[in-house]
Amino acid sequence: MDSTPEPSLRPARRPSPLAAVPAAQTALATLAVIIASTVGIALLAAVPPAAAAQTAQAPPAPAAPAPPPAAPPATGTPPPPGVPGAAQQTPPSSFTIETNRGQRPKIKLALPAFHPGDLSGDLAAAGGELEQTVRADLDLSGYFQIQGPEAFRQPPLTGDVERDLPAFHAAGAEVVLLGDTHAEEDKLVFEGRLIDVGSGKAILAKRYRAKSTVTRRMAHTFADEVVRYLTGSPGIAMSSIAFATDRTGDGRKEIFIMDYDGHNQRRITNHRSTSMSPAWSPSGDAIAYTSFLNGYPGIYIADLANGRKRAVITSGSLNITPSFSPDGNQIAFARSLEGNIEIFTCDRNGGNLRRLTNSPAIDTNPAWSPKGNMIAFTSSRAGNPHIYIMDAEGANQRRISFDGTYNDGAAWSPDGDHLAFTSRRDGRFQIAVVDVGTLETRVLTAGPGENESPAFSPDGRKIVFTSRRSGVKQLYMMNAADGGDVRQLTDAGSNDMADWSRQNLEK
Amino acid sequence: MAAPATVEQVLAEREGLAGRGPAMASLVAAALLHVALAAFIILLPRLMPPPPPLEYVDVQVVPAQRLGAQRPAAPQPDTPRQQPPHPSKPEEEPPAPTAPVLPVPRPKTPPTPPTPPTPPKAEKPKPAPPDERIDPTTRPKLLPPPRELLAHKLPPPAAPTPPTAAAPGAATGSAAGKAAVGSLTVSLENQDFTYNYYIAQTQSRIEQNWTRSPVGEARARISFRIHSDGSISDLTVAESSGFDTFDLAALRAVQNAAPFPPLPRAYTASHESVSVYWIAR
Repeated sequence: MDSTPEPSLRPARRPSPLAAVPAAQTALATLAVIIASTVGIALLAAVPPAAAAQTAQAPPAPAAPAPPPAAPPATGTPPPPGVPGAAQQTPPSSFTIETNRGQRPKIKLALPAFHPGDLSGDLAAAGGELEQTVRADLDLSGYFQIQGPEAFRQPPLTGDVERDLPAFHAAGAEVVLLGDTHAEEDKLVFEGRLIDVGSGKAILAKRYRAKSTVTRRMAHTFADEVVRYLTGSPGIAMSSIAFATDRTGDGRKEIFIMDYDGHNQRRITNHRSTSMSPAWSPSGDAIAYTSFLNGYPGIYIADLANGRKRAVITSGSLNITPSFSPDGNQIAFARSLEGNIEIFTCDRNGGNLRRLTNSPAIDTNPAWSPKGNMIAFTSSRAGNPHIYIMDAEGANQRRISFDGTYNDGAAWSPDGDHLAFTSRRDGRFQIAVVDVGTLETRVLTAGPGENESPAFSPDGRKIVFTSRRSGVKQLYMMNAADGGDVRQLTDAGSNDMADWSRQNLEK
Repeated sequence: MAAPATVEQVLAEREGLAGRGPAMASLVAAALLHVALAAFIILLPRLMPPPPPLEYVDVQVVPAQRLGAQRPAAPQPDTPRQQPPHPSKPEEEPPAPTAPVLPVPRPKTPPTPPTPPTPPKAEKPKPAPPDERIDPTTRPKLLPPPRELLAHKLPPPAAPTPPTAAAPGAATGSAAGKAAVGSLTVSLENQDFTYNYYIAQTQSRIEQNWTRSPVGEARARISFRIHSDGSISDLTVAESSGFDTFDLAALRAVQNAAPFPPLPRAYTASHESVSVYWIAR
């Protein structure tokens, strides 16, 4: 196995100048939420705008100053589809993607240093990595406002939960996570527990024991458990990202995968050719990709359990950009027919080839929707490349993107409500997200750096994308809601075309 | 299956046999090479060392006291997640020996009624965590649409909870300042449910989904039950505001906010669910 461990998750330069001012951003996001909810009220109850404005202020804005009273009444009428509403007067990076659900305040989580126990040698290092990984996972999740470990060093904690509670309470924490590591024979034992600060009662306690080789997995598992118990949402710490890289040299491109946090980067293909456009199967058992293995691009599948690769479609002159159906039984892809590129589907073994599009323009880059009923794709039928969607049978083709001169590479959010795509704005490639229902579009990145190839995390809260902001194409992740919290994931060679697994994987 | 054969050839050639291609070899050599390649490809997965086994024991503990103060001799595997199953793996953890982690109820929590000591043996044999993982798309209990709930408006349940003043010990909403929009109160039957974080989370989620109907002064009491996995049931209007739109919106807020986080593991060791009221105003 060709694994390339590399330091990652180092904080990256933020793409948006606005993002550098979190307070302002929060305020604007809150404003956007309130505006959106006002529109919702107007739609639902058909109330006069004045009443809506009054109501909109009723739910207290989480951790934000009072909204300017002038804004809400302006939105008494819903914005027509595709036309920017009043909300779009503010800079794009200030929007939250879940306008209907709003932004939840972060949970205040006290996370003092783990109790290190009697660890030595390898296990001591593993214990340190475990603590670091749990901390990083919880931070990355975006659900928590984490306090510690510094805050709880002076005065030192006693180790007795009851006696330490006042310290956590004083820090304003709602929940405290206590960790204890020690050795049992050659294995690392980790006990983690969550305690409700208000009542002092235990919420959850878990105990893990493993060899130090699976330390990160242990940490990810526990972090996801914490996320699940405190938020009710599944975590993503056990998900994986597939991508194409040239790090193996000689101008070749191979498919690699890595953990969601950029660790554990490892090779999947070794074709010594150009392999690209990896696409996860829904269950995570396989990756479909495009490879020039036979001299011309064909669709292949790598079985991750046994490492075997097989061809799906290699006939014709060009078969590229595969995307699995959500049941994993079919693949949509772009295929050249008589010199023109159209969208096709076929079974996972290459049979039952069906053509979905039929236009003289180029149709490419299909993305099957999570519910399976639609396929998004790129078409140049309107002159420039734009994003379209159609039913999974090819009917009802309609355009989704209208702004920008070049839109490509659509990726669905897991709930099927949004599409992220590459959009050229003012001559620069940026990541945009469109609400498929309302066609309201937001741009998440800003500035130079050619940001492209987005893909959503399994929980829809993050987007992985390619950017050349450091000079070479590297993979980054950011918040899907506002483009904030950007982190660089790769730094070896040039890396591109990331696809995020649809769920956590048992690795 | 012509395609795979060609792929395998190309693959194998590129993976180390390039240059020794059968181009100049005789037919026999080519045939031999094919057989060798086939054998190589078929055997390769078996010869390769299996991926490092996912070997850890994951134990559910109902804790009560100091971390690490009481270390069991051996853990009780709750979800042995070993993968892939490897017949001859010598390092498998021994199956659950005896000593469980004993949860000793803290003596220093007088306000709560005598909590059952929650012996770990009584712990429900939970399936592997993925099973209890909440899939937001599949709610265990399909609730009827709010309008139906309104139609069967039930009289308030027997428990005469004081409307505003929270029951003693019961945690109220996420912040006192939010009383203006409503507050979540644990019903009298579950007064030992004093997890502030949970009440705050639940309250916050309902608020996020709460679109107050503009009817002026109004107050409704919505009652529902939260189950261990965070799903809800028995959603009803316990006390109507007198305005159907207001009641409906309040019901919808709770319904859209669900499912909630799983109930604290330490609580579900002895309880199935918790009954709560949400006061919309």
